[in-house]
Order: sequence, then structure tokens, then C-alpha cells
Amino acid sequence: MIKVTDVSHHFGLRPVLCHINLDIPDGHLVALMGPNGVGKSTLLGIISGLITPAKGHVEINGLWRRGSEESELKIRRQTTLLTDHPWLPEFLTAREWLLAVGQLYDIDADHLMDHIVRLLDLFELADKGDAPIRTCSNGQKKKIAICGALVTETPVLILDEPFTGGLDPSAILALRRVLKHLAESSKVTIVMASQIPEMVELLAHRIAILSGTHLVAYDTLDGLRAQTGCSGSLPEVFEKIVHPQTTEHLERYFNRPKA
Amino acid sequence: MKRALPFHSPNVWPPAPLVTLFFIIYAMVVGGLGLMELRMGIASEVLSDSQEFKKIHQVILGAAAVVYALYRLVRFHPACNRPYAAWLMLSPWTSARPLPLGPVHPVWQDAVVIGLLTAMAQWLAHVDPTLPVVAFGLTWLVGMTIIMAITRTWPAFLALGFLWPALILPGVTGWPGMMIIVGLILIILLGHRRSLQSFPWPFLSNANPLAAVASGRSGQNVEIRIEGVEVAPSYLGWPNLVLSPKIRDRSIADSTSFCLSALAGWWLYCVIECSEMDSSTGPGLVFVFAFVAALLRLALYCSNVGPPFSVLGRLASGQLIQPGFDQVFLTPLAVILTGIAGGMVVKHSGSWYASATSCVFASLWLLLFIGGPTRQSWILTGRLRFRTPANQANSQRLRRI
Repeated sequence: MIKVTDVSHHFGLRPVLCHINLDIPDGHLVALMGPNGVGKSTLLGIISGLITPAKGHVEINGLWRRGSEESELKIRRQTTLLTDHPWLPEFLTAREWLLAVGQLYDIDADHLMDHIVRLLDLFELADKGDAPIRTCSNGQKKKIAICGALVTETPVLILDEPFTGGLDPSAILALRRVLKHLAESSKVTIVMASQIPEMVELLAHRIAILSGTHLVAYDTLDGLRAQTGCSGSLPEVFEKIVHPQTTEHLERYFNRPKA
Repeated sequence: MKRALPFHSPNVWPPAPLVTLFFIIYAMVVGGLGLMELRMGIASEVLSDSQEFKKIHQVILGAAAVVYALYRLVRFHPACNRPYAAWLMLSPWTSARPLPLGPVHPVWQDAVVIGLLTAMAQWLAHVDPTLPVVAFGLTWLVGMTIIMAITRTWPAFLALGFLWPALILPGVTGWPGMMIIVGLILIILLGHRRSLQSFPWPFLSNANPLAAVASGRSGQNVEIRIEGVEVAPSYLGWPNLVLSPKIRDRSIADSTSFCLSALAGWWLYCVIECSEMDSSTGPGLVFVFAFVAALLRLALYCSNVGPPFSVLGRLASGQLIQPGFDQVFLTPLAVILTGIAGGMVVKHSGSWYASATSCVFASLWLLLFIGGPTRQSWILTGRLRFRTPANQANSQRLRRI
């Protein structure tokens, strides 16, 4: 369970997030959507502990983020963050790096090695597993970073734009299935920022939409449809919520009066 | 049961290549001298008795004694020889038994080797015959002191830390000096036994026993690494490093802080007494140290982290003081203020300035050690923002994707 309570944050004079409240039950996959620069990554950074909010707090599985040394260490053991721009050690091989990451989370060595083999196979990295990461393409590096998040087997996954960064279609399909399985079968709580509505539509139990520093909607897709009175696809619902005037603008653009 | 003689080991003779190298160098010097005398047609005593040539002899003989002492430590002490330590971890060896490769403490073979060098100094080189003994003894004692620290034998290390600088005090000559040296030797021998009893040492926790047989192939390197990720290694990349569930607890116990501070003060006192430093430099020294130490502590705490929001943000939100972040400034500020006050005390201390300076110095260290927050508490609970590794020293080894 992730509980974000009255979180506000600003960079300098510019407010980024205002009074954000989110309750994410265990085993739910919540997608965070919103226009560029609206604060999705900042909110994920706050949930993951990278940034302390100016106001408000985050609780994960009943523990207050940065509340005490013990609670923070417990939360860290239960949480993994995949940033949109992860940094990987170029001189290690994928397998070495994944082993070190798994070891950080005290995964049993035999199980860890087996899991790494399965992950490398799944993301078609078996050939590259023992080559230095510097020899991999951008897409392969993104796959390795995703494997790094999955290998920790934490009950909370925080993913910032996991489907971008040069992933090939088979990797996108594999990741989609893995996330669905984790949320539904393994009761892993996943918070994911994504700009790909098709993926969100397929995966998310609930969708949180940020617009202009505020959380303007947080519901299931059907709930959002009911809220907006729009029975269309997610992009249409999203437009209704974030840019209600877009349709009107489009009509005006195409139907301008002839001179 | 046959008991091994404590000062005997057949294993500790210097290796043949080392001995050969020494004799080649020495023969080249002596032979060169003979050749020069022959070609110049001068009496053999003229060159060999010159001060410059004696210095060359001294350097060669002293270096030989130093190298031999280092060889004895590096070859025979498991703390200096990781594959040896890894192999010992696999073996049934305990500290009740002698070290299998040979002892670290001096044995009669050492006396033969050093005696030979002493004889060469006396009759061949005509230099001070105590030079090889002093060079060997000092190197071995200093090396063992460092090993006490490496193997975390703190009581012995602290005692040695207090005794070593006492040797440079002006009044310590003759019998007091001898007593201190005897004390050093006794503490090192006792500490050595204690350190062997605590084998395997904490710093070996990252070493896999397989390291002893590792051929260097990648797979085996992984085996070595996977055994002990006790803390997040720097190569883990962003954001694993800063959000790691394992972080190194660098906090120091209050008793250790007190001992280390007293040690720092004692060293400064000995240096001031030995160098007969002018009393007018004391206040400046104290203030400069306080200022630099405060800045270094701040830099250590604030590397790769920043306040959650900037000064402008504080002004905009009306939250001028952020206790969760600003706590990091308290100890450096206290250190600087103590430095200023301490400098004034030292200025007016008159003939007690050496004692006053060292007491202020020790107080500053104590403040630096025990002043909160601890680094672990700061990283885990401070209200801060982790920065991306663009500014990190190891960013060259990480690549953003």
C-alpha cells in the first residue's frame, strides 16, 4: 500500500505539485499520466525517496518515508525505482551488474542466478549477458536497466517511462506481460509513469492524471469515462480531462470561415 | 607432543632473487668504486672513505633492511596477502597454531640477515653499523602498527598511537626512549596475537575463499563479488547507489571518538614540543584547522545531495529555515565558533600554549566526530534531494542511457 498525503513541491519559485493525495492498494498497477513537465517524474522521485517533498509525506506499507533510519531502510528493501534515464556501469557485464543488484536486496544466490538467466532470455539478452555493458545498444541498455528493477523482486515497483528508450516491440510485449503478471499474480504494487495510452489502457487498474500541478483525476478507466461523459478510448478521455478545449480548437481550426 | 620453537622457522630466509639483486647492486657499487680508483690511480681509501660514497652505502644497506622488513610482513602476514588470507579461511587453521607459511614476528633467521647487513656496514662500508637494525626495526614496527589498524585491533593501535609520537619529544632520550621502544614491541607482539585471534577480519568479508584459486576469468570474478555486497558498491549506478537498502554505517562510537580526539591532540602536542613552534602561530593554526575541517565535513555530507528546494523556494514558501536540511550546518558552525574561541584561549595561554593548542585541537576533533547528525541518519532521514551522478567522480565509468 502506497499512501501519498497532501504532497506539495516546488522548484525555486515554480510550484510543481500541489496537495497531491493518492492511495494505491497492494497489487494494483497505477499509471501516472499528464502533459510533459507536469511533475510526473517529480512525484515518482518523491514516492521513491529521491526527493523530500516541501510539504506532505509518503507512506509505504505503513512505514513513513524518511521517518526514521529503520523505517527508511525497511522501505528501501521493499521498493525499486527505475528512472527514465538510469545510469549503468559500462565496464561490467549485464550479468555481473544484475548479480550485484540482486545481492543488494539479499536475494538467494542460486535463485538470483536462475532469475537472471530467465530475465536475459526473456529480453533476448542471452548473447549480450556476458559482454561489457558499453558494447550494448541503447535499447539493450534499457532492457538491462529493466532487468535490474525486476531482479530485486521487491513488492513495490516505481517505473518512470519503462516503455520508452528504444525498446523493440518484443521487449515491450514481454515487459507488458511481466508487469501484468506481477500485479495480478504476485500482488506487486506498481506505479508507472507512461505516455503510451495503449499500454496504460491494457495494464493499469487505475489511472492518475496530473495537470497544472494538481491531480485532476484518479480512477479506473471506466470511472474516468463516467466522470468525463466520454465513452471513447483513453486518449479521448485524457483530452477531455487535461485539454477540454482541444476538440473545440480542432473544429475551429478545420472549419475556419472562408474569406 | 613436540612444541615448535618460538623463534625458529625454516621458511623465512629471504628469497634467492632478492638476495641476488642485493648482491648485484652492492657489487656494482663496490666494483665501480674499485674501477674508478684503478683508472684514477689513487689510493683505495680516498674514495671509499669519502662522505658521498658512505652515503651511497648507507642508502643501499638501509634500503635492503627496509625491503627485507617489508618482505617479512607482505609475505607472511595474512592481512597483507589476500590470497593467503582467503586460503587460510578455507583451512582448519586457528590462531592457536603457527601461521602455515611462516611467522610474522622476528625469528633467528632475521638476526642472521640483519647481522650480515650490520657486518657489511661495519667492515665493508665503514658506516654506522646500527643503521640496518634501525631501518629493519622501524619498518617492521610501523608496518605492524598499520596492520593493527587494518585488522581493527583498536586497543593495541590506540596504545601504539600514543607511544609513537612520544619518541620525538625533546626529553625522551636514553632510558626513557628505550622504555618506549620496549613498550612498542610488547604492545605489537600482544596486539599481533590478538589480531590473529580475531581472524577472519571484517575487511576480508568481501573476499570469497575462491579468490585463492581464481584464475581471473569473468565468471570467477563474479563469484568473488557476489559473496559479499555488504554495502552498495559505487559501480551500481543511478539510482541503485543512493536508494540502496544497504549503506555503510560510518558512525563512530563515543568512546572511540574520545580516544581518537585525544590521540590527535597528543600528536599535535608532541609535534609542537619537538618543533619548538612559535606561540604566535597557535591561534592561526587552530582557526585554519577549524575552518577547513568544517568545510570538509560539509562537503562530505552534501556531496551528491542538495536541499529539497532552493533559497528562492524558501522565500516563496515562507519556509526560511528547513530544520530537516539545515541541521547539517550546525556542527560545522559549532566547529568554527569553537575554533575562534579556542584561538583566543591559545593566544592568552602564555607558556602553556602547546598544551592549550593540543586541547583545543582535540576538542575540535571531538566535536567533528560526535556532532550530529551521523552520516547514515543524514542520508536516510535528512530532508534532502539526491542529485543525479553527473557530478560524481565516477561518472566516467557510468553511462546515462
